[in-house]
Amino acid sequence: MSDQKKILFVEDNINDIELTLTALEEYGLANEVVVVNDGEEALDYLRNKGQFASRLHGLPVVVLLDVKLPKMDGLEVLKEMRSDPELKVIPVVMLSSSREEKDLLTSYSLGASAYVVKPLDFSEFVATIKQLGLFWVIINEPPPGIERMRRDPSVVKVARELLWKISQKGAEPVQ
Amino acid sequence: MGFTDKPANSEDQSSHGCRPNEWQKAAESVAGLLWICDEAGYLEALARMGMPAPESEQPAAQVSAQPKHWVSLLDESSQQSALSCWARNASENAPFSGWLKFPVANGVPQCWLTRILPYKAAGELRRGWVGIALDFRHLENMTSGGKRDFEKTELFELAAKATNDVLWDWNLMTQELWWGENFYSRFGYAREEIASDISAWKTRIHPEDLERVTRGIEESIEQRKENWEAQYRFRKSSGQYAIIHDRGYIKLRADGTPKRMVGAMIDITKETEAYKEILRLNEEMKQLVARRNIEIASATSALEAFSYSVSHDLRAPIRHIIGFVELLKRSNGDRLNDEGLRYLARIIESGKRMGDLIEALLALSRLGRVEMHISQLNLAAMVEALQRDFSIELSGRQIEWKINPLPNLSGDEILIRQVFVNLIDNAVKYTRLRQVATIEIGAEDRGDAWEFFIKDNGVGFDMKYSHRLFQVFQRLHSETEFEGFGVGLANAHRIIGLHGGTIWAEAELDKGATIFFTLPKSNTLNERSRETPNERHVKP
Repeated sequence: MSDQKKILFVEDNINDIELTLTALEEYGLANEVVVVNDGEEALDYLRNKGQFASRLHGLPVVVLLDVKLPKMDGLEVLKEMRSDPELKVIPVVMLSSSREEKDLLTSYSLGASAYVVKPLDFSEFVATIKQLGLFWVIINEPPPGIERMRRDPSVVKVARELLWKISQKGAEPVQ
Repeated sequence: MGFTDKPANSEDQSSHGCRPNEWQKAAESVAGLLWICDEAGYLEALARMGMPAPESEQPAAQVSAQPKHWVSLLDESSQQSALSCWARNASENAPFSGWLKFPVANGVPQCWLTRILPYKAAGELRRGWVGIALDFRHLENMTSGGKRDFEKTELFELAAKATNDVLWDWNLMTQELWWGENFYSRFGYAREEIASDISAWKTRIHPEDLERVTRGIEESIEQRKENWEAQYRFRKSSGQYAIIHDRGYIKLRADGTPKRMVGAMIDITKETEAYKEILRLNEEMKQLVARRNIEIASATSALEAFSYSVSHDLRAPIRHIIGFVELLKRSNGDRLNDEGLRYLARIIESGKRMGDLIEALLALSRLGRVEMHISQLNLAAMVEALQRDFSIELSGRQIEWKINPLPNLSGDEILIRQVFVNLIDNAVKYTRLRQVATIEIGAEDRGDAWEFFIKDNGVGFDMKYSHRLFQVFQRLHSETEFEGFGVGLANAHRIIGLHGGTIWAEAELDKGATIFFTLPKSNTLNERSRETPNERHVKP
């Protein structure tokens, strides 16, 4: 495993960052996350530019992208990524506080891999973020050229079981 | 003098050896004068054909008694010039031809085509002249039926008076143009100023319209069309222009050549001005509507920006509050006493409620942007299904349902179902304290509309607060008594309003409540626009 972080988390709100990282912590996924605070930084990171010019090359297995961001919002970042031949293959999960039809539609038409509404209830929130981390980092096969997490078969098995459990729990009515 | 029933006296007929009936026929079909005079121009015989003689004219019978020169037949004004013209030709024994002015009965002198030919009778030494003057206008009249034409003219005048239109009759052979009486009264001209040909008309057409109008009329005549019409401005004696709608009918001869054109000028100045006023008002209205639409659009986009911001910006901090309290409980819960833990539970509970309120508010705001999808609804089936659903959920309670027959009507299925859901939900909620709850649903025919009611035997409310019932977030019961956000009736109110109906309530404290609403039978529903088709499927 290289020093390369596996998740790029684009979020400007300090509270959301902390809550999300706390949720990922439980499976030790927090160390796999690099956090940037706005759209420009996200693109700089992905393109090894600006403050990230000297970082190790390599792309994350997933980008968790908040819809509402300062300067350049999530939808614009997504659009930019999808028009860049280097970045278009990276799975992008849009995160939003609410289910806005417009954002939902735009996200998918721009090629988002998923759109997730952050649940109000904390245990639901934690469950959701965990599922995301497990799915994208451990279960999902990343595009060629992107190095994934070490595939220890036992880890994958555990992750699958956990994911199953959580998804069963998550299937209960939310509201 | 009246009409000349006989063309001439019998002496003239016999003296020229014509067969009487031919002479008669010729005389009837030709309007004008035929005369014979001696070398010096003195009349020997005169026949007047197909028209009345002027008052000034002496009876033809007296011609032989007092010889007169043929120029005396002319209107006085042109006698002198005619004489000198003819005399010049006569000296060379040459024929004369030209337009000469003759007096006519009851009218202004007319120009007739005149020909004077020298003659020499066979076997006689005597020389002389034969003159003929023809009135083509009368010729036209004669061929189209003689005396009846006068009656037609009279009818024409009557028609003109009756319709108030300006009738005209244009002889395409002679170019003479006859105007109905109204021409003078309507446009303010005196008879004397109006020439009896087309120039009287052309010179008064607005210069900007003239070419178009004359080209149109010429084309119609050339192309042997039967009808012509045009609109143009026509100058009145006051100098103002009247707006005229002119229609003409072109009468063709048997051989297809245009003979005559008859028509009517209709003064549409007032109508045109009224029409212009309508157009102006219409334009004003359009602009007003456009302005309003812009205002509405900006208000709508402001509302959308607001709800977008609410949904994002207000939900996030609530999520954080709940999240961190939860974390606090997990990490430090063991260090808190029961009271501390209870506070944390309260904070979380309040946060969740805040989130729900925001969600409800958003749903209501989305409802305002909903586009309705109208279809025929079977309300009986809809309510029956709802009742089944509620009964399953409320299996622990004893509820007596009474559902009366319900009509079919058109409306938006999802929205109308939402109304019933909200109202039944309320009825169920507020009858919770009753041993046996009764909920009755029914409808009454009110002519234009159906009036629905949902009646329960629940806790009811005091009617003095009824005005607050349908407002957002207004509740008549505390939350500890009955849960809720106060949006259910506001939602119903909005939906019924969208359908063109009204909603109201009747209740008595502790004796139950009845919610009434109407839905019109005919659907003149407002179509509301909205962004995306899925937006309507929001939770209330």
